[in-house]
Amino acid sequence: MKPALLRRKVKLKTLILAAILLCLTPSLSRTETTAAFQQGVEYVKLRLYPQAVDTFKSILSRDPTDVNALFQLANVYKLQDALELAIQTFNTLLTQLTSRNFTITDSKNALTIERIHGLTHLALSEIYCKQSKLDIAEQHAKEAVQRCPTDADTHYRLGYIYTHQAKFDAALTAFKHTLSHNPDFAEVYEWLGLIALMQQKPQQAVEHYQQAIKRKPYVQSAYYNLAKAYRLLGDTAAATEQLKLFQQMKTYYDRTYAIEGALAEDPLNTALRLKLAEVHLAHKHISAAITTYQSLIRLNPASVTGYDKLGRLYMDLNMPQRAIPFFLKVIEHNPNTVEAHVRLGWLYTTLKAFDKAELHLQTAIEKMPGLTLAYHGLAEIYTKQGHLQKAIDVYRHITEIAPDDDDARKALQNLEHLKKHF
Amino acid sequence: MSKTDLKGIPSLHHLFVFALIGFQYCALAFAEPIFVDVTESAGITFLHTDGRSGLRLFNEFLGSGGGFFDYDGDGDLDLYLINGAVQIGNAQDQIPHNVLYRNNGDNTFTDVTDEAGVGSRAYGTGAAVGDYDNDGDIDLYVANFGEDQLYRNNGDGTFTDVTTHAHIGNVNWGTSCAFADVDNDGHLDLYVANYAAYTPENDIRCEERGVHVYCGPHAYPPVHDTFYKNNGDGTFTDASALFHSADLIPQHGLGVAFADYDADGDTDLYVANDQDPNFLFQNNRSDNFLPNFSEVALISGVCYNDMGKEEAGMGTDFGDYDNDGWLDLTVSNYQTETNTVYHNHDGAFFTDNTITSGIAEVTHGYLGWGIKFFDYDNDGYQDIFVANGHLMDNITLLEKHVTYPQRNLLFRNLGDGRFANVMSEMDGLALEKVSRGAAIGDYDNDGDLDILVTNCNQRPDLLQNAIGNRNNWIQIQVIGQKSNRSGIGTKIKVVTGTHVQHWEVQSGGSYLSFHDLRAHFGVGKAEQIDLLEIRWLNGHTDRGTHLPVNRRFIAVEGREIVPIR
Repeated sequence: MKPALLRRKVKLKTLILAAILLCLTPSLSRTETTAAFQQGVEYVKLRLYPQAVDTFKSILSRDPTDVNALFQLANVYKLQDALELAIQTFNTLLTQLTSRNFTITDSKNALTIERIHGLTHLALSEIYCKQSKLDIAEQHAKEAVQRCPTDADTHYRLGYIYTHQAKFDAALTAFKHTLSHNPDFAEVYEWLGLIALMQQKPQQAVEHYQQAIKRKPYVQSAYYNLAKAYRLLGDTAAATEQLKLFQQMKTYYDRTYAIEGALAEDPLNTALRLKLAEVHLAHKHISAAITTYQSLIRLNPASVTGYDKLGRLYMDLNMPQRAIPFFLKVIEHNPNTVEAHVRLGWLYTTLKAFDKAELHLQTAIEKMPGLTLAYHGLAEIYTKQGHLQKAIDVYRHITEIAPDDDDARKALQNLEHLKKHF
Repeated sequence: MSKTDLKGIPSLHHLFVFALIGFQYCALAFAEPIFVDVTESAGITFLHTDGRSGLRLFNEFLGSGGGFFDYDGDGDLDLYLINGAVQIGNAQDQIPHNVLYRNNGDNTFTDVTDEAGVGSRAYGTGAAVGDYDNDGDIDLYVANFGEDQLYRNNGDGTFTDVTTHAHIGNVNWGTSCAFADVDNDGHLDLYVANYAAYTPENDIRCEERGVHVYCGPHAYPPVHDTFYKNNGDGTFTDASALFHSADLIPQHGLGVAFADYDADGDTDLYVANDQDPNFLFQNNRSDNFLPNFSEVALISGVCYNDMGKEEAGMGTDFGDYDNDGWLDLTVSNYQTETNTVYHNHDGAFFTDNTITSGIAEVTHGYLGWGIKFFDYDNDGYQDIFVANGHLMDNITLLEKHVTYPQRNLLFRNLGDGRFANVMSEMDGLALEKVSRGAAIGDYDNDGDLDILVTNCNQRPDLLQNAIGNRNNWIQIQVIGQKSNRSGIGTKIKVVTGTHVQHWEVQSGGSYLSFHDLRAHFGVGKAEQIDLLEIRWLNGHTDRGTHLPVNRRFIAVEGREIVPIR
């Protein structure tokens, strides 16, 4: 090959490579941005607001026109109660949207432009409500409804504003739209109840509050106002009953509110989060407890206690398949654990996965040879599988290491009797 | 422009520049002054101090109150203003003290503190007035951060501090207080709301988003309020237990209002608590006349807001705003909480009418303290005045749209259950200060009700009513014989045609403040009082019929009601 041709070829290759690199570079950057955006959203979910702010700011420093990041940043300011900053950021976003000067994050959590536009107005409406500027809030809510007409939240905001302005007919229409898009919007029933109370229609109020309670049984205000409706109907006994429930829910609310307040200051405090979950459990609010444990694990993936608590909770709920992964995580993070193996033995037995059950129970026994509970589990597996002699051997071993174990002795007698006669 | 000048101008009062009358939120803007700030011309130079430690000590933000009372019995209302005190360093040229101003009868006042002997230098908060010893002159109780003080009026323009002799020195951090005869024995008892167990030595530094702020009430434990039963011999007995059942949890008390809300003949009590459940003590006086209080706020609907949550209750007052014969209730609260208007349903239950009354939307943006029902325009309907001002001097660091000084609010009763926000940009209603207390009284005896507003670290505002007496009115000074001499708790009904109004003579109400003990009724254009009915606490009723309007009457229990002007 002639040197000139070679040079040309090399040059062409370089150019192609450069072109490829050029194409790849933004692609890589987009990937990074997407990952950062996802991380930011995750921070928001975990209420790690300072980290979320840093993340979205970092994205925006590279691309100030990324409207998804800008929306999320404004939203975090709103969540932090930095309302002026939030307004300023949302307004910047509106300017970008209006001038069509923007880019869109490629992420599963990213929003469409129209939705960002609508939700920005919705967020501004909520902020202006907080700032007692209902007229401005109303305008933004109307814009939000126009841009996101199928979003229940936008109609809800408008209904909320109209209620506070005592424009009850308009509020009722807005709430009707809300329910058409989300029939289980519990707060709507609460406001409908309140409007009925203000309009001296206590029977209607009772019905609305009952609907609210059916959908969200852990909200104190519904019980409080239901009691008021009963008072207006002259039913003091029913009112008193509801007030008792109200006080239970209020105690629950007050306790969780206090803990959540402390967590906002110290989001990585595991003890507080565990306490919060316990309060939820004490009031049988299982889904809230699960969410709390899940947050704990996400915030602290090495938290053995979090996995263990969640595993136990699912175990109590008789959901072995959900419980198992959490106990496996416990073992992963704490290989010396014995209890998790025993629990897994029990869970796999329930699922009739006897091999796995046996494996975990044997491991437990290896780690703690005197653990009769594991032997009991093994014996039970063998029994269920029809391996009577193996089961007998295990029970016999239990009676040797724990002579006072009556259960083992009885089981042994039964099995020996069974083997003898059949 | 003086108030007298305005009298000749026809109906300017009704020439609003604009009126936004929606279903709910009504704003009335007036082109003429409604309340004229006459503080300076009246000679009031009092300057409040919270101690100005610069450390945001917890006891500095509540402010101090004051009020109107005729201490010298000369027929016009004098002024008493309460002051804070220097607590840490920063000695000031003049030691702050409470001040008594004697009304000269010509719209000016003279400082008579020294000769009267009521210039307490304690860290003062609230006060109440009433003739506790039934000797014909009005005595004064001052609540302090520290030991409270009872001043017995000697009847000669001087007072004697009888705190020790009367066994009445509440040593807790007293705030609002009020006299009332809860056992109908003819002697005034006293209730003092207490705020928290706090000393500057155990002050905690609180921060919000990195900004040094005043701590919220829950930074310090609450203490039980104090109730003193009058023994009838110049002494009192601490009978706080009457209000404290074993399971009653103490709260951070700020506002106190006595009234017979259930119209069963004995005096009940409402206490506004700061970020705590409010109290409604129902007096179930037994057959042997011993008071027996049950705390019934929750079942009565006046404990929490509509969300079932505590609010930062500051001031409170009873008043029959819809003229149905049942005393309704209002409470001032923290910014973003709205003030509350509770409607009384036949004495059995209250409903929250804050939104429908038009109060919610307006008050949401203000931090309210002193609050009082009164008929400023003499149209026969109780209006509401609210003194506002933020608690944090540096609030704008946290919320740019919120200011430390704030406008006060006047709500005109529209007569249909709604109130309109009266705005006037050229008078006392336009002032923006850090207000706390609000007291009501006709200090110039011209037939309409004036306002005294106390402000934090500022001069108070004496707001002279410029338009009220364009409508007709009557005032009644009640003097009990078997009932307590001040007539506190006396119920007065005024009938003009089909219009019926009810009023109960009250010692407390509002926030840290006390008011004209004379009952004042605006009667619009009515030219005669068809019926004036006075029901004394002991059940006796006196009546007057076909009485002239625009007159002041004296009603001595068991005697004919007679005009005094």
